[in-house]
Amino acid sequence: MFALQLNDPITLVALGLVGLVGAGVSLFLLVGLFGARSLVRRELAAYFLSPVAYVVLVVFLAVLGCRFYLTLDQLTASGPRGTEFPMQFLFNLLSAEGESITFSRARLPELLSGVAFWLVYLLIPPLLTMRLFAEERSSGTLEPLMTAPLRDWQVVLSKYVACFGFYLFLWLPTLAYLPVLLGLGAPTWNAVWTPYSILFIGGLLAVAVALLSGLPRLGTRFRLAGLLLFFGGAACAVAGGWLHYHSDEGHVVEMTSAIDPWPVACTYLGLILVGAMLLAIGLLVSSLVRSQLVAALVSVAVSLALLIAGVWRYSLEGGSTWAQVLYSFGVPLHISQDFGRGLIDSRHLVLYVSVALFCLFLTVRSLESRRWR
Amino acid sequence: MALNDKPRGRWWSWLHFLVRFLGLTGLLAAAVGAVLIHVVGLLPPWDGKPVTWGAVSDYVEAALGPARQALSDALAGAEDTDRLAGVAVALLVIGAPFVLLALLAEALSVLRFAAGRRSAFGSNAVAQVVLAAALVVGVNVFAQWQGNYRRFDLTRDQRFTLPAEVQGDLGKLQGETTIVVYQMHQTLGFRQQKKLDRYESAAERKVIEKAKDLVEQFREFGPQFKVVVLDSADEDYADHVKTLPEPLREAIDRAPEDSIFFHAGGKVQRLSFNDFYALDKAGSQDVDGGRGNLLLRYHGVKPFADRVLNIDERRPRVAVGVIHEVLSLQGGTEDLGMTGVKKSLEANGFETRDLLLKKWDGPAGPEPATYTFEESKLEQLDDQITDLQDAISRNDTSLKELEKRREEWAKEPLDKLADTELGRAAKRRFDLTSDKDFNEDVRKRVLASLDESLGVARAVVPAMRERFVKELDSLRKEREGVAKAEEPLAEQRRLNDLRAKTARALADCDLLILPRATLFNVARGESIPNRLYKLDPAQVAAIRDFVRSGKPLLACLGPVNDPPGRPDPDAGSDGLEEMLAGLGLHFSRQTVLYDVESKSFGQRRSGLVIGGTSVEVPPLRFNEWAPGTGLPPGKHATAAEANPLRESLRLTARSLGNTGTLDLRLRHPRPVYYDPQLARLPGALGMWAFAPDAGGVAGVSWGSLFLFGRPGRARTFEPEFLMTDAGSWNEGQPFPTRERTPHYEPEKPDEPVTDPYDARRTGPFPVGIAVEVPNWYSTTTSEAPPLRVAAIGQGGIFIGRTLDPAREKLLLDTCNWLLGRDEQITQQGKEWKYPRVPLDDRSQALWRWGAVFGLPLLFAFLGLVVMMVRHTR
Repeated sequence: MFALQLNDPITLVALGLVGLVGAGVSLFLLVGLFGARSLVRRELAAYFLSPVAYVVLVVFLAVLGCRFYLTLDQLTASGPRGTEFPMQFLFNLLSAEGESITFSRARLPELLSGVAFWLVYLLIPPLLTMRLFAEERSSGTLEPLMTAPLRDWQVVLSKYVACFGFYLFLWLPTLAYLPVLLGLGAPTWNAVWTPYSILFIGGLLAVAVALLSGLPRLGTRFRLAGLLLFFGGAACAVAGGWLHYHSDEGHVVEMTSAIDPWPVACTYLGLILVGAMLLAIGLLVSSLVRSQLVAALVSVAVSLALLIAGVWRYSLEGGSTWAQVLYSFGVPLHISQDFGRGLIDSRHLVLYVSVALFCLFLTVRSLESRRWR
Repeated sequence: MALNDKPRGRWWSWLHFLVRFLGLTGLLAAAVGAVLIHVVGLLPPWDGKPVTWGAVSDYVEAALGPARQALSDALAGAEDTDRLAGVAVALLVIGAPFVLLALLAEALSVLRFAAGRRSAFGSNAVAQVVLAAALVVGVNVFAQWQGNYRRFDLTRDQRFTLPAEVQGDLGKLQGETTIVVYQMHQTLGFRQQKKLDRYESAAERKVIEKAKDLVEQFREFGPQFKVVVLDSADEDYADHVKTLPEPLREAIDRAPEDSIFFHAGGKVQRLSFNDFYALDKAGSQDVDGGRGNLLLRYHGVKPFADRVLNIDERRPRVAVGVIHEVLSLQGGTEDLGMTGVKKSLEANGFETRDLLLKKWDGPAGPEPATYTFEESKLEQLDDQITDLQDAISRNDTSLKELEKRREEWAKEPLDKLADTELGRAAKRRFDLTSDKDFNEDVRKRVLASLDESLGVARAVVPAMRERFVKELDSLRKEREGVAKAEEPLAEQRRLNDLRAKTARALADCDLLILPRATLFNVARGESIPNRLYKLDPAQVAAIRDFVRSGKPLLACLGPVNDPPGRPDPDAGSDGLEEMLAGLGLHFSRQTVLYDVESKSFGQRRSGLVIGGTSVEVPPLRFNEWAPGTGLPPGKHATAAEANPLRESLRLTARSLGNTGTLDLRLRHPRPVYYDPQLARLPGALGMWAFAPDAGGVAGVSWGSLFLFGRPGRARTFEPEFLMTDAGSWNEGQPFPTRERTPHYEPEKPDEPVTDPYDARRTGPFPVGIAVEVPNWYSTTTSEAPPLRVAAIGQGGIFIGRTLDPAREKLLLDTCNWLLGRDEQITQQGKEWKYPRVPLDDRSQALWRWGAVFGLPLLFAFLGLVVMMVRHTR
């Protein structure tokens, strides 16, 4: 494994270049997205007004709640039971300990809830994406949509951002588990005034102001200013916070964590990226078919393949070629074995990002194909 | 290119359909054929080489041969052919061309479509998609390839990151290493056949997980590591073991406990689970306010990495110097031999060698000598061979003699025969009073008797000869085997100088153990007189040379007290204890007796028990004790750091939990002390005084006496690692008699105390010490590394065909520590346990209900509200 060497000049240059390119592309996409904001708003509103979304949310939280219940059991157990990495246990598919599966009666709830969670989780992206294009196509609203003064990629990106936003919203309630998963103590507030702490607090205030400015109906310029304020404030808060907590002696807020917080952060990162990939796959499938049911079924089939790869991997010897191939696609294993333990594997990142981008590209091409078919 | 854009005709459509249909059918046939080929086993297995063009072409070549053969056999209709194999190959061979034909047709069709003016956009898009797909596949394949990916460890304590030096070393490794994680559900080798409890089971599972994690980390840097997890309780365990190489199988068979094996190039190294992560069961039971946790002691990556990096490392050789074969590692009885030591050491990666220091076949009793057990056996075999050869020769000579006599009696005149020994015997036999009676009749009768003897001899001697020759052959073969195994001995046997011979025998040994079992049962008077152990000064000098070279020594010297009324005239030091005193080790001249023994002596006198048989002495202590414990008044502790061996034994005892104990009982030991003030010159001079005639000054070089070598700095820690119970006292006369029952008597005020260490007092007494001392005997001009020496005040501690758990642990730890293999003894290590969240029962209930029902209900409520709001619109 590698520790991230932020003082290595080559790493810094590489990260800088990637950041610059990423910032450029992001700016371009953001501008495009801003142009299609009404579409984004419409799609988001559709989610929050749809009963399916709430059913998904409730089932998802119920299943994850069961997993949390078992994780809490481990974290408060007596005797030689426990879990070294709570996030690994929370998201494990079959077994968290050395991949050895023992089907004892005591472990049955753990095993069943693990499989149940991943089945539910892999069903969510198809359910969220099945209607995006298939519904438009079947109800005949795709043609008017495509006549809107928007480029194809803007349409695709708007819908993608909306469903991704709802996907992120799904995970927001799970932040309530963090005090237990991190073993957080009570926070203590201190009056520490340093340049970095001021930057940090100022950034947070700017973000808050930007969010509040979105509530009243203001003009485009105000909204643009609010957007800039939001991103600028977020950047200041992140940079100021990082510098404040790494350079200053005293801290504005101090909170002790009995459990390593980085595996938790890594797990959320992994879940976000996996969601991005699965949603992009679902979006592509939805753009190819007319029926929502078919769109959902095809997406589920693809998601199940990722789940089965994870389950099958358990029956193979660790070092074999097949085991490694299956591990490459076994998303549940990536989350529980790597992200859940604070490890970021470049292979997984490449897979998620490349597949997501490829699927979005294909979706754009799929919409575009209507013009020349 | 001008192409026809007109819609295609009916015939063309039918033709296209036909080609597609044939292609699809061919694909089906080829797929079925491929599956059947796999099922019938026509495909050779892939030999595990990396995937390269060369390897693939070799594989295809190897696969084509059997396929061709199967097809030709099926076509020729050979009787013993496998028809299914023939059909499989035929399906593949017939199907594949149709698939190719259909692909060609489709390619032409795509080309035609792409070249069309109307589909220019489409073909452009298709090209983009194909390129993007190729890019995605390529990027992912590249990212997955060994060496192209990175795993970033963001954990707070970098627990998945190998130390930089290990990373560098792993990068240099060549070839494949197989790592076998073997669960035999025996967490501590010395606790045979005990079912694992929940702490041990949990520890076992966790160590396997940790081992696999570590191997994953190794894979990032080193060559291909193959990991096999074996569970002796699995149904397919035997099948799995069969697939392993022979050395690994043997090592697994010998494993005393859950272990990790490392195999490369035919060499095997073993790492016990406990050397990697050791369970602290007592700690596990007590931690978290008594609620319990799984507490492991992590010894770091080093022990694991060392095994991988040093697979070729030579096994250390331990020599045991004994005075008789009966006491040796290979011979002996339950009461005297040390076969248990041999078993334990060899099962744990040591080689052993017996060093016999006395010869017992001389007329004057035991004589100083140095030879190995094998050498002794070789000599015995030589003697047996010589005896047999003599016997064969004697028989042959007897037969020839008989034949000669017969010839003589048949031919020679009677008067000449009458003067022979046989003639005189015949006269006596037949009561012949005069020579006249010695006639032809006598000749006939003698000849008849000779014929009879000859008949018997001719029948018996060849049979005996045949049997002897067979026996001889077998002995010669055995001798060849022994001689081959111990080839260097031949040269050694020719050496006459005892010191050189001893030095030569010790030269390739890494550790010397000197056991002197003296007192076995004082109540019954069972003992071996100390004088029998007395070594020749030349032997002591050779041992000192061994120590001088920096090699460690374990001296297990029992008490030197003799039974009353039987003072040993030959008693007296041979210089060994003085040599050890030169290093600061002081052996008391008294024996430790326990209070329970005193009671037993009293009962014995009153006839209640048979002497000493029912006494169970208290176990030795190695748990916490205050510095200076066990020392006589006026003596103080020299260091406060815990003794590594005591620490290892203490931690091992903790791994047995609060209820388990490491039961080590030692009867009739003698106190052993470490006193740095005794070291160096006094010891060296004492050596000279006791052994003035052993070459130079008893092997103590003038350099070490006066030139003062430059011993390196030694690590200081408390020397004592075994301590007797407080209910004991030191006794100069441990043997009970009719007149006196040994019991504790305080030192009388008027009694002169010559040696404070021998002053009478009550326990506890140190009976085991291990020290790292400056090598005062070294004469090197450069700084000599410190020397490790251990001493136990009882010579019979390791006697027995098998060692009990505690003794085995003591032996292995002592040997490993003396050899500098500190990582192989149980150490404190870094504490590892499961994280816990301190929540009371009420908070736990709230969190549980909140997570399982609270949050879902909240969002169900929100959803319903939204639906109702929508409905009102």
